[in-house]
Amino acid sequence: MVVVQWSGLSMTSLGISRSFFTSVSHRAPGRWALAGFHTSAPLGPMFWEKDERSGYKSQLDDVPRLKLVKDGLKMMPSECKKWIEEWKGKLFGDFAMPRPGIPDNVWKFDSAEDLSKWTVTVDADNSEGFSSAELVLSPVGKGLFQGNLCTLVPREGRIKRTGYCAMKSHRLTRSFQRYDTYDWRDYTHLVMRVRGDGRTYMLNLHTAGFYDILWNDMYQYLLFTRGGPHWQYVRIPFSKFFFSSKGRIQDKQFAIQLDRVNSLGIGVGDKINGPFRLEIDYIGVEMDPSYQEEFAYELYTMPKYTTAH
Amino acid sequence: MGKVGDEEGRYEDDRDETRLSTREYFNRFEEKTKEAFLDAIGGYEEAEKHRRGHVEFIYAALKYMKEFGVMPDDEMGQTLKEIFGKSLSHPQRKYMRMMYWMPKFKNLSPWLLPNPVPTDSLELAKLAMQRIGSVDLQTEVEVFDAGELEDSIDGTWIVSAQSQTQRKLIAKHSTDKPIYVEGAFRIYLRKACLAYFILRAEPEPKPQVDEDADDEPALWCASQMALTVLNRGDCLLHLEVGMLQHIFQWKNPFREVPKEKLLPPVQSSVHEQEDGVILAACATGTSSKDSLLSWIRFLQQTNPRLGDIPVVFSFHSPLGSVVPIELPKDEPEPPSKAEEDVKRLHGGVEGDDPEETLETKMVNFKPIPG
Repeated sequence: MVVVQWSGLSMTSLGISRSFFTSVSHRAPGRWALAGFHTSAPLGPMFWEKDERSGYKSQLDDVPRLKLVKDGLKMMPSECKKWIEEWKGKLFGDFAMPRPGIPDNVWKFDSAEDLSKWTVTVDADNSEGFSSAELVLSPVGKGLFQGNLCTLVPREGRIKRTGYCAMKSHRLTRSFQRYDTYDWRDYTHLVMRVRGDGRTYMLNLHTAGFYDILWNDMYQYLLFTRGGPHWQYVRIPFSKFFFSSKGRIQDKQFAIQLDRVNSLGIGVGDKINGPFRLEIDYIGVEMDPSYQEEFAYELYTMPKYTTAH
Repeated sequence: MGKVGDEEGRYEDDRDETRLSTREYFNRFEEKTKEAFLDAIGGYEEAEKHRRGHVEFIYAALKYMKEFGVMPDDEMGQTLKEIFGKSLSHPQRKYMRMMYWMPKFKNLSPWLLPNPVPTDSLELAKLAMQRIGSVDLQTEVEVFDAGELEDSIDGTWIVSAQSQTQRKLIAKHSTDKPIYVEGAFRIYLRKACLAYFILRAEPEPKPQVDEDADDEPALWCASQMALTVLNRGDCLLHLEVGMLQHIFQWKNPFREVPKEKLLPPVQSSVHEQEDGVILAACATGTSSKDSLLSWIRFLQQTNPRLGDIPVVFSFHSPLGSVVPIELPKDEPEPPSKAEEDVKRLHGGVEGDDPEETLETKMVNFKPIPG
């Protein structure tokens, strides 16, 4: 077992790249050799992420431990059933085969139950602003993400700029609340049917991994909306999604690993004060056999010590 | 911290944090141009031979970039190199990141808009209608002057978007069923927000599916799905029945689907949605009910059938919440759905109050704590 103590001014200066972590968690450790990998004295909290939520409160923080245990026990029967179903599916089920050009639905927005699979977060939740948002059923029975974006900065002085609203699907889990991921390797496009208001939204595909530096990984792309009364079909190749961490675009880019996606988020934070409105019919994935692009951005090697990984 | 008002205010506030001496490099220029910005940098270069306070200066410069209308370009990169040396300094790297990513996304939107968008609301309305109309390549955007109409009170401009397909839909619309003028809805064009209205008819009922039949619901679903696929890209493609049959039959090669059992594919246009048929869209100078009435009158010139169809002016829409309209003082609340004002156009404009002006021609939102 290798014990790594973090040190140094940057991970690049240690000669460690992300691929080390991704390859380990990808069960393909052969690519990486341990030679030249130095360890030295620990350097405090510079890179080590203590908290998966980066210090932001969770709804579960205020729930007493005993209640969590009780609730957990109550879930056992349904989780067991889920587990049995999973194994039935594994042993006797058909394997899913994507049909070229026909989208497979991942998220529907037809009922309150569908909407309960999403969490809406705004800056005001963490006392970082004054925006508000909600995800409700629209008058025509589809998902409606609406609210008011406000870039007013609280006077506490902790932050300098603000204004975001976001909806994020719950992280995919298997039975017993084990983390799971979608496997979209056979698909090439993300498809949606939306009706927006002319604003630009951000799509986030979360690919949180096991290690702390992978916790905040996500792949982003823009969702331009036309505005107007007509529904709009959106079809975005996965290759266009660029890599970012905590919303910061990364110097070193990687193509998205489509078997790692565990959640999707839609955010609005375009610095335009005022109400926003995005109606969503469905979100799905599609396979287009003629689509060949793997990654839309350059992957060339940069000189050492210039790019952060 | 100073007051933070709006978008511009935020920069104002950021500047307050900058040291006065640093601010002076930029503030002494009356004219905010790129040349002035470069001169400011030159001023710093001369004054600070040892580059004292360069971090603060960089932050200040970044904040002033917008005000001076400076975008990262080659010249700026060159300047950075001259000031901070040939090696990759932090500003240099920041510049490189910006130059790498920003041009990639700058013109990415499928609905390109001038930057900044025009401040004239008529020009904005034209852009908005073109954008809404982009769903149908045949959309024609027309500008009417309500002053030409005798009955018009407002005499304002009207920008209308309608396509040939929509005209055909109006022409075959039953005279028994009303069509609705609904709004105002919002559309954003960069930072500008504009109110628009639509002309909408209730949707046609879906074709009935025989639930007892074995595969039929699935069949219908599949045909809808296939149509969804083919309608994608917001363009209308016609689908042949034979092609649909071909798609289904692979699912069950042992079962022959009789031809008459196959549902005819629904050859609908993009305007025929499950929540309504969109017949036209418009934006007017005053967003008043009178201007909308004038709009319908203008539409009558190309859609004579509109004279026979009851037109209902509604402040509510099943398409979603409309703009909460700021009514002038002494103005009653917008009528509820039950009290909708049904107007047959050939019945004249009686009861139309000229004061019913809904001030929504251009909505400028101030940040309102939500």
